[in-house]
Amino acid sequence: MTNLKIGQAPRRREDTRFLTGSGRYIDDLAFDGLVYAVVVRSTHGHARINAVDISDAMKAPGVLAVLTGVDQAAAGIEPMPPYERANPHSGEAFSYPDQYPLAVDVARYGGQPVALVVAESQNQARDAAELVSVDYDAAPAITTIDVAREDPANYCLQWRTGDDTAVAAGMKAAAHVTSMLFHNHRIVTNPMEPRGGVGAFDPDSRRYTLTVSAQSIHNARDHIAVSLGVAPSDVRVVAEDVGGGFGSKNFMYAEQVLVLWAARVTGRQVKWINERSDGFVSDQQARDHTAMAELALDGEGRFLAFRLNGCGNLGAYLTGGMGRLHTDQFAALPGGPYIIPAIHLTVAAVYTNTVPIGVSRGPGYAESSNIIERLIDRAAAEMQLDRFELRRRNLASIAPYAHPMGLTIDSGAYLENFDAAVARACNEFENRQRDAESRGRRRGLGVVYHIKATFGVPVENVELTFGPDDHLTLVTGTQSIGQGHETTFPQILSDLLGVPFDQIRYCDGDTDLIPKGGGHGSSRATSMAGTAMYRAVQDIIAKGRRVAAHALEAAEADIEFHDGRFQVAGTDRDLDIMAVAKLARDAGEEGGRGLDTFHEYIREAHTFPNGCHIAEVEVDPETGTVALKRYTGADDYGTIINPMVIEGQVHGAIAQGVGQGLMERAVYEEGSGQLLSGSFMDYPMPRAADVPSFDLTFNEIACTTNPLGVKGSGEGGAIAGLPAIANAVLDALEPYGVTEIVGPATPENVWRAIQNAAGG
Amino acid sequence: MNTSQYEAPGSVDEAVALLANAKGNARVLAGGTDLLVQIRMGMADPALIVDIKKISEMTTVTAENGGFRIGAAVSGAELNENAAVKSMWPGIVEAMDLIGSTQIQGRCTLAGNLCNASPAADSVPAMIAADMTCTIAGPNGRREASVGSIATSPGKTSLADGEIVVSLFVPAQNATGGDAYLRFIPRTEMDIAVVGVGVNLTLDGNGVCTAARVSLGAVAPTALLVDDAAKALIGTKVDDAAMDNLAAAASAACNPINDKRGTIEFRTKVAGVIARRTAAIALERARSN
Amino acid sequence: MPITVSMTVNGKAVTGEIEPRTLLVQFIRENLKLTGTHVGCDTSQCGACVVHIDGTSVKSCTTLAVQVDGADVHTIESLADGDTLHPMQEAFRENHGLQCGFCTPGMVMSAVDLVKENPDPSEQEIREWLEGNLCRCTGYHNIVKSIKAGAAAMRG
Repeated sequence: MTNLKIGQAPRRREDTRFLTGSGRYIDDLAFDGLVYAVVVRSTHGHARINAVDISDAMKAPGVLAVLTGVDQAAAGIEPMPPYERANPHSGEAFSYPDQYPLAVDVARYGGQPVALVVAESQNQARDAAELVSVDYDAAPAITTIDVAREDPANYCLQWRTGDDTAVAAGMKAAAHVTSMLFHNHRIVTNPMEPRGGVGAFDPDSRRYTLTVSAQSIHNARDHIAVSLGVAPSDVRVVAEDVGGGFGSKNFMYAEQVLVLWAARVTGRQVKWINERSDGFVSDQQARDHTAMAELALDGEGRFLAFRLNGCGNLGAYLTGGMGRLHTDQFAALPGGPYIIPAIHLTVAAVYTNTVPIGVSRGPGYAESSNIIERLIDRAAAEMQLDRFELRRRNLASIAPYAHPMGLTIDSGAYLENFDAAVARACNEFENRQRDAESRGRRRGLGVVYHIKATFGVPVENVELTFGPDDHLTLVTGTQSIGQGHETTFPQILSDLLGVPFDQIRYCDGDTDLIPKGGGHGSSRATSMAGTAMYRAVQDIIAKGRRVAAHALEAAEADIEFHDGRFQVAGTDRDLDIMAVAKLARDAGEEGGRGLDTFHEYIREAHTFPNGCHIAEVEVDPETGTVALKRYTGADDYGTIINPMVIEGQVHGAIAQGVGQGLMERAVYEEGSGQLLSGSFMDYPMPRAADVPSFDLTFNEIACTTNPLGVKGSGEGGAIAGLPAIANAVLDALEPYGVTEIVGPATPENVWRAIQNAAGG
Repeated sequence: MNTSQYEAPGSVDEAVALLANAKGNARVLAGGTDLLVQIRMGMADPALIVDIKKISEMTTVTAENGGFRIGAAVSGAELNENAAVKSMWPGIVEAMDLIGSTQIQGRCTLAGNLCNASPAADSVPAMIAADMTCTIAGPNGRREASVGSIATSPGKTSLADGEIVVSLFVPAQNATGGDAYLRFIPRTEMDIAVVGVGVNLTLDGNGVCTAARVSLGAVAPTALLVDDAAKALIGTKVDDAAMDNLAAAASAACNPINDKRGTIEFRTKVAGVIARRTAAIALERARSN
Repeated sequence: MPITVSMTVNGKAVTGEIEPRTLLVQFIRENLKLTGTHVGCDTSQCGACVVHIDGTSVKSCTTLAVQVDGADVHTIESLADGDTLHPMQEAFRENHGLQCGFCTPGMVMSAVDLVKENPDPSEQEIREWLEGNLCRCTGYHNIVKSIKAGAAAMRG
C-alpha cells in the first residue's frame, strides 16, 4: 500500500492481463446470441454500381440479413458527417461528397463497403458474402494529387495564410533561395489489432450499444448518432482493451454504423471483425502530401523567409477531422523550431479514388517537419555550409517564443537538446564511416529537430469518486489503448492526493460513464486529463479542508494538506483523506457528493513536445540496401510522469517513422485504383531486425501552461523518422552526387538515385 | 472456402489413390505454410486436402549413394538440424532456412517450396545448382525427374493429376566442391526474393574451377539454370575477371517480371551483384573442403 | 462433413467436432474459448497467433486443427503457474516489453521457444528470431531487452 510520486516507474497494472492472455480485445469478448457480419467491399477503385443482387446470398445457409445501399434510405440512415466541416480560421466551408455507410450508386474507392451480410456463423457470413453479386461499370480512377488537381471539382479546400508580402521581401533580400518539391508518401498505420465491433439494439429503450476497437469513442458516438438519425444519448459506445490505434482508430467508420443498423434489423447482437486484408482497404490511411517549398537565407545562412505550397490527398471522402488537420496541425508550426521571420502557406486538399486518409502518429507535423528539415540539408549543400551549424544558427533560443503563425511556444531548450544529441550521435562516427568504407559500404548521418503542438479534442473531463470500499475511482474521457494510462493516471493521483496507488481505480472507454471525452489523439491525454485531474484535486482538497476543520474542531485556515492527510497546523491532530471522504459522504456534504468531484477542463494552451533525432545508416551502393545502424534522440516531453512509459512511447514512434523512411508505402495502380500493397506480404512493416536499440535521453523542461508541466510524448519519432532517414541516406551518398531520394529508401529507390546521379 | 475433406494417409499408394480419385480438386499438404495462406486469401479452394506428414517414407532423411534422400514432408527445421546434410550442402540448407520465420520453419518443406512453383521459391535455385532430382509417384507408378523440370510456369507444375513428389535426392558433393545460396530482398528476411542465386562449383588441385552450376530464381517465370554463368567460371581460378563475366552472364539471363517488387533494370543489375557474392562464398567453401 | 479432433491443450485432453477447414487458432479461440491467442493478419506474417505444438513455436493461423490431432498444444494461458508469472512474462512486465498487448502472447511464446533453443541469445539473435512477430507499439527495443532478461531468468 504505497503512495507513488510523479517521476517514478511503477510497472503497469494492465500488463498481467495482457501477458497471461486475459486481455479483453473486441474479438475476445463473449456476447449472448451473437451473429456475424461480413462486409462486401468494392472491388473497383471507381465504378458506377448498377445493381446489387443479394438473392443468392439471402438463400445461403444461416443468413439473417443482407443490407445494401438501396436499403439505407428506407432505414433512415444518413451520411456519415465529417467532424470538421469548415476552416476554423477562415470559416470557409469544406467541399465534400456525402459518404453513406454503404455505397449507393457509385463506389469511389476499392474497399468501400457495398453490402453487409449477417449470418449465424462467421463461415456462413463469409460464404454468403461471396454470393452477393454487384453489377459495376468500372470508371477511370484518379489516385494521385497531381491528376486530381487538374479538376477544380476535386478540391475540398484551398486556403492561403501568412504574410505573403514579407515573404516576397525576404526572398528578394536573400543571398540564396533553396527550393524543393516534396511528396510525403502514403502509409497504412496497421495497429496489430484489426478493427472490429459488436452492435446491439435494445427495442425497449430504443438505445444502441456499440462495443468497439476504437480510440475516441465520444466523438464516434456523436457522429454515429447522426448517421443513424438518432440523438447521441441514444447511442452508447464502449471500448475495452484496444490493440493499438496510432490515429487510425480515431475517427468513425462505416462498419460501426452498419453493425448497429444490422442489430436493429436482426434483433441480434452483430459482430464484425476485419481481416487484415480488409484493414488495408478500409482503415483510414495517412500522409500522401505534396509540397513545393522555398527557403530564403542571408549570406550567413540565417533564415529570412519560407514559402510553402502544399496539397494533401484526402482519398475518396472527407473523414473525421481531416479538414482541420490541414488547416490547423499542418499550418501550426511550419519551419519547425527554427526562427523564420516571414512565412506564407498555401494549403489545399483534394479527393482521389483511394482509401480515405485519416491520421497517424504526428499528422501534419510529420509533413511539415520533413519539408523544413530536408530543405535545410539541401540549403547547406548548396551554400557549402555545415548542416549542423546551419541548424544551430537558426534554432530558436528564446522561450516563450511567438511563432509567426500565431502559437506561442511556452518552453523548450532546443540548442541544449540539439548539442546533446549531436555529441552522442557523432561520437566516433568517422571510425564507423572508415570501417564501412573498407567493406564497400557508405555511412551517413541524418539530423532532424522535431516539434509539434498537441491538439486533439479541446475539452476533457474527469470524475473522481471516493467509494464506500475505501477506493478512489477515476473515470476519464481520455482512453488508454496501450499508452498505460491505467497505470500513469492513478500514479498522478497517488502523488497529488497521497492515496495509495492500489486504492485508486481507473475507468475509461464507456460513453455512459462520463458525458464527454476526447479519447486519445494528438498526444493530448496526459496534458488534458492531467490538468483536469489536478484541478479536481484542488477542489477535493478545498472541500476536504472544510470537512476536516469541522471534524478536528479547528479553523479551516489552520488545516494543511500533505501526503494524503489533513492536519491542524502545528499539531499532531490529523485525518487521512479516505477518512475525510467518509465523513463528508456520511454527513451528506456538497449535496451528498462528499468529496466526489467532476472537473471539466477546456484547453487553455497547447503543449510543444520537441527534440533532436539523429539516424545513422549504412548503404550498400551496389544493391541500394539501407541498414539503420544507430538512432539517437534528445527529447523534451516536459515533466515525465513515468519514464519507463515515456521511453516506450518514443521507441514505438521512432519505429513507425523510420518504417516510413525505409520501407513502408501504400501503392495504388494508376487507372484502376487498386491497392497493390494490400497485405503484410506486400506492405513491409518494420521488424525487429530492421531497427537497432535506440539511444535516448530526456530533458525535462516543464511545460508552463499546465499544472503538471507535461508535454505529449507519443509522436516525436514518427515526425522525425522519415526526414532523419532521408537526410542520412543522402549524406551517405553525397560522394555519388545524389541529392534526392523519392519515397522510402528502398533498395531500388536508392539504387536508382545512384544510377541517375551517375548520369544513367 | 469449401474444403470439406481432409485425409492423412499412411502410405504413398493411398495418397496417390486419393489424389487420383479427386480429379484435380485436391491439394497436397506437407507443412501447409503456403497452401493455408492461399486458401485464406481465396487463391486456392481445394475440396480435398491430403496431408502427407504421416507417411514415413516422406518424413525421413536417409543416406544414399554418398548423398541424401530427403522425404517430401521433411521440414526446414529438421533439415537444418541434420548435421551431415548441412555440412555437405550448406547452400541448400541456408536457402531452406530463408523460407519464412522460425514458426514457419517447423512446417515448410523443400518439396512444398518446389511444388508451389513460385518463381521466387528460395530453395529451388540451390537445389538446381546441386543438380537434385526427385522421385514422383502417380497412378502409373514411380518416375524420376530433375528438380528444374517440376515448375513450368508460376503456380503450375509438370506433375500429372494424381502425381505427388515422394522424395528429393541430392547427390554426393565433390570432395573439392562448395555450394552457396544468397537472395536479395527489399528488406531483411522472409520476403519473396527479388533475386535468388544458387552456385555450386568444384575446384581442382590448382584452384581451377572444373565444374559449376549457377541457378537464378525470381528473375523469370521459373528458376533458371544459367549455362553461360557456369561457363564464365569453368576453367578459371574464379578471379575478378571470371567474376565479372559471371555477373554479366547472370544479368544477361534475367527475364524478370516487372512488378512492384523490383523493376527489370534493377533486378538485372542486382542479379549480377548477387551472383558474384554467392560465387565468392561457394569458392571459399570449395577451397576449405 | 465434420470430423473429430482430439489433442491436449494446456495439459487438458480436448475433443471437438469441426469442419476440416478449421484452423488451429479458430479451434483454440472459438471451440475452447481460449482468447489469449490472437489473429492479427491473414497471411501468416504477424505472429500474434504463435502457440507451442509438442514444445515448438508454430503459427496457429497457418495450421489446420486436424493437422495437430493427437498433439500437445500449449497457449499463452498455460505459461504462468497460478498467480506466478513465467520468468519470460515477468521479464516483459519488468522491462515494459508490451504496450497495447495484442502481439504480446505471440511474442512471449516465441521468446520462450527461442530460449529453449538458445539459452543466451545475443541482441542480434533475438532480433532475427523475431522475424515472424510484428509489433507496432514498442519499436522492439523493450521486447529485445525483455527477452534478454527473460533468458537470463530462465537460465537461473
